[in-house]
Amino acid sequence: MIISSTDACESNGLAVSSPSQGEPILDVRDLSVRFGSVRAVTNVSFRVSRGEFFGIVGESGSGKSITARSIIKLLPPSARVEGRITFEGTDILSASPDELRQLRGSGIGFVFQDAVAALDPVYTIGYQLVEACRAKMPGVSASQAHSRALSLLAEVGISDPERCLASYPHQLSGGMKQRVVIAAALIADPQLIIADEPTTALDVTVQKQVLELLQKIAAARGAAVILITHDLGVVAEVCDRTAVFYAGTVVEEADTFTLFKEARHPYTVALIESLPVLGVRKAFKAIPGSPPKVVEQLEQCPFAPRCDRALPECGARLPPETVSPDHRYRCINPYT
Amino acid sequence: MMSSPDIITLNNVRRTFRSGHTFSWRPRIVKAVDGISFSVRRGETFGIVGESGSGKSTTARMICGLERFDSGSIIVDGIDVGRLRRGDRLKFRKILQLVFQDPYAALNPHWKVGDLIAEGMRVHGIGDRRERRKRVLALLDQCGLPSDAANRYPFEFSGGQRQRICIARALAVEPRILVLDEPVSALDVSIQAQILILLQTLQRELGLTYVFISHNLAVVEQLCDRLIVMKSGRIVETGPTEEVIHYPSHEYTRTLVEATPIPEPSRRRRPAHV
Repeated sequence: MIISSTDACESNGLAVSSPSQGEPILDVRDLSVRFGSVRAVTNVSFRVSRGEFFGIVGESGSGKSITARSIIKLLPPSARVEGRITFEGTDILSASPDELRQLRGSGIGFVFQDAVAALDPVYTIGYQLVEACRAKMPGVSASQAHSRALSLLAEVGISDPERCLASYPHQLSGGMKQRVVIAAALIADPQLIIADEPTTALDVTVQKQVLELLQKIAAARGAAVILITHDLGVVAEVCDRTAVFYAGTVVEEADTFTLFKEARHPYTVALIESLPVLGVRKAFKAIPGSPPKVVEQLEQCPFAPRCDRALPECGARLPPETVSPDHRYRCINPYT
Repeated sequence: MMSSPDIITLNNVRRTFRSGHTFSWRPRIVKAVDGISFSVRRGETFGIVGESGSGKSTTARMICGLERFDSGSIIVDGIDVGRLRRGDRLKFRKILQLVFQDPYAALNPHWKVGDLIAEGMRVHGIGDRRERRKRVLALLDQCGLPSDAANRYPFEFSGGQRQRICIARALAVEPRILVLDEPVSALDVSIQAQILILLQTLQRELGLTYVFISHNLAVVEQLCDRLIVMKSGRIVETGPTEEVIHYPSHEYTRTLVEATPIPEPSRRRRPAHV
């Protein structure tokens, strides 16, 4: 059954849950982030279940990275955050610095986009991993931390972990560095791994390996993964469920198969159609215009100016969410 | 039309770089391009595909005369690129122009868009000020930009629009060949198709020859007539696009095809959870 809620603020996608896994590990509800008068994120809600591979897809400036950083409260002081983020019962936005420190790493591991920037060039990989290990696990001896680092590097598929530990970041390839950063995120056995564009800087063959690695780790540890990407192809390959971001809001969320087969929102449809598909030669189909650079208020559908299905009402207010058991979208004239 | 169907011919071109420490006694020699030969036909779109370090950008730069080569020959529209003299270089630029990957870095922020586009014509002594102005407006229109863009600065434009400006600038001197080095990979997904459509339209209208460098096999497949696949400075496979992608004969091409994500979950090549 499809229920159309009357107020955008009331709807929070509660009906959408993963079909395979049960209880949510992360619940983001009505998250809004502002920088001065700029709205980076507006009314974003989603849930991630244990063991789930959740995709967040969007273009630059769509608010996907800000959303990810909100989850571990890693935002600049100028950010004004509203809403609620609950991770395993802890309210993150009101958590104390001590609780946050506990949470980062142990509860939630974060893999940053730029593996080069995430590693300190003047220390060996070993030094950095051991340091992180001892910071996260008090009471662990140096040799225990060392062997922990070794086993993590082996887990992320580095063939000669000893040698890698003794290396400096510049001695490793891009794919190796990304593996090291993933290993660092795994140090304290997080229940949730957030990977922000982990493969954007990598070649496709290495990208494939890193994605398979994330899948393997998630399956082996029963951890949930939030994969942030601009590439619908990546989402299609690995994610169980996917939220599509546009102009700081979730325009559509569904099981990945459903999303690609029965996308409702014109932006999702246009995005899928604009992608070249390997092995299928077809004419390019472009989306006219460009995404808004800065969003100051969201009193209309942000995609309306570029939408070929737009109605006069689309400019009047932000469409409410239409929610069905495995699908939700913000559009008053959706594809059916 | 000229008699030869080939507009660009590379014959056994090599380029090595010295690597390792500047003062090391035994520098490592990197073979960036290791003896490659191919020809590009007039009016076609020719793809050069490879991952980082494959030598595809070095190849492109050598074709453009921006990088010297150690041995072999490159002939572009009858001009021997290896023996370009100062004066020839200018003439060569009227035949071949470039569009770079990053439209944010490629445009001088202090110049107005109209001046950026007209600069090539000015250098080549094409037309007077008024005629150049007229042509700038025509180019803006042709590349899908508003006419008032001429009086604005690059920062006022989005990534996609900037790439349009770069294309307009490249076309200003009426070249026969455009070398496009990853022209869409810095752009947002929803903008990429716009630029690719523009490139296709311009090619149809102006009869241009494109050398299209990309790591994205899916884009290359849609755009290119023929392609080469490069790895470690060598050509591992060459042929008509469809043939290479559907029936790759080299192991590496197969790996590339298999690693390219397909935006259709139903074609997933492995289960979500291994």
